[in-house]
Amino acid sequence: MMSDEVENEVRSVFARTAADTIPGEAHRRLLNRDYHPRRVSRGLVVGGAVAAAAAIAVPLAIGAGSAAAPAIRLAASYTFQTPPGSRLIRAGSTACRAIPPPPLEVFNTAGSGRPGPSYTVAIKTAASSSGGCVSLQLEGAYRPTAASPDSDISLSHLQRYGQRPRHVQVGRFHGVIFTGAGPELFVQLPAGHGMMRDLAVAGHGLSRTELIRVVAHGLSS
Amino acid sequence: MEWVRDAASKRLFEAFVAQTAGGLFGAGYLMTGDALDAEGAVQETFIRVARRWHRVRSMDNPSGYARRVLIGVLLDGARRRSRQRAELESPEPTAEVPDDRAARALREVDDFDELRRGLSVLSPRQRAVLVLRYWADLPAGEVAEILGCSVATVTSTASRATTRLAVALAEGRSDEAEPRQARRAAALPGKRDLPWRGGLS
Repeated sequence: MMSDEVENEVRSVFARTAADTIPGEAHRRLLNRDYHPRRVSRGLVVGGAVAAAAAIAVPLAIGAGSAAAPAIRLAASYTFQTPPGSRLIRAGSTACRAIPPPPLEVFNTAGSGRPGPSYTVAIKTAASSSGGCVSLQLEGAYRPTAASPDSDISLSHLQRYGQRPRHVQVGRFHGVIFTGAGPELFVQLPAGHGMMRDLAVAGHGLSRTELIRVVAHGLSS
Repeated sequence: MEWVRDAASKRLFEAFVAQTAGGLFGAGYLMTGDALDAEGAVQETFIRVARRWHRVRSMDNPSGYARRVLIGVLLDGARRRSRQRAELESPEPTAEVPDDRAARALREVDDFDELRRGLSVLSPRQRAVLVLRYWADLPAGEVAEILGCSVATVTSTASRATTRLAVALAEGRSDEAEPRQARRAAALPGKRDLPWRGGLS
């Protein structure tokens, strides 16, 4: 049986050394995450590691502009809501050819005449001159480490290639935006058990700000 | 299945997360020694709590429920990672250490990294007992309830774990060739960014 003296020393050593050792970044991330089970579900948590090696193959829906904005199912628990007036077009279509391969889904806002929230105005402005579009790709799950906090969004890597990367808030998620062939955005989505997945989004005919708005809206539902 | 569906309930849940995230993360961090593992476990805990939020929010002690879920997540994870390690259920025999030596070994620790390394030699259940009993300052009865064992088991586990920790700390100190300052410089990443203080609520 432990003596009172030893018991007090154990309490004391925790109080002395471990009371303030919580990384603030982790704490902030926990507060900013959405635990709504329809978005981050048990299915995703369990399936994250299984699907780690492959990009998610999403069936392409091809069609002319539809009145109802299509929603793209990225994974079991992530849905991307396209802006009103969008239409899905074939990945790699000439309408969106600036997008680096291999995009899984592309939607195009050109010709949209529908009223909508403020981001639509920006999209329509962009679309009126060149036709705005984005392509989405959900990357495999990975575990961030201190040495390698992210899979593809290493700032130093991007800086090396002169792509002016910047950390940004995308709705409730963290992301990095940089300029490749056009604005490109990586958004870190939680996949449970400390795993993350990157949603890579490339934009064409859109500014960086417009791309962030589209993605923040798309992931907000 | 119950979801966090309406706005008021969601706001309550968000307030609950804000209130408990730091304490849960702290317990997870001390138990795993790894900030990312702790973050993942807390995330999983909140997902599970969210699923049952309509029931959890009417409980007498919702944060206690979340703490129990967290410990379950951490112990399940530890079992999965090291099924072959017998230490999980039957820790190796601990050498007898006089109380004054154990107290001295604990008293000389003034660095979290040193404590973290000492904790790493314990089994997950031993760590859970020490963290819940002496960091979160929970009564032995509550720790027993969380871990699904008797109070006597908590008491004996705490005693064995403390002895083992004291031995590890003393051995670590004598083995250590590098100066303490160098050790401090290599302390955990993010240690300088510490806005949060406090225990499990």
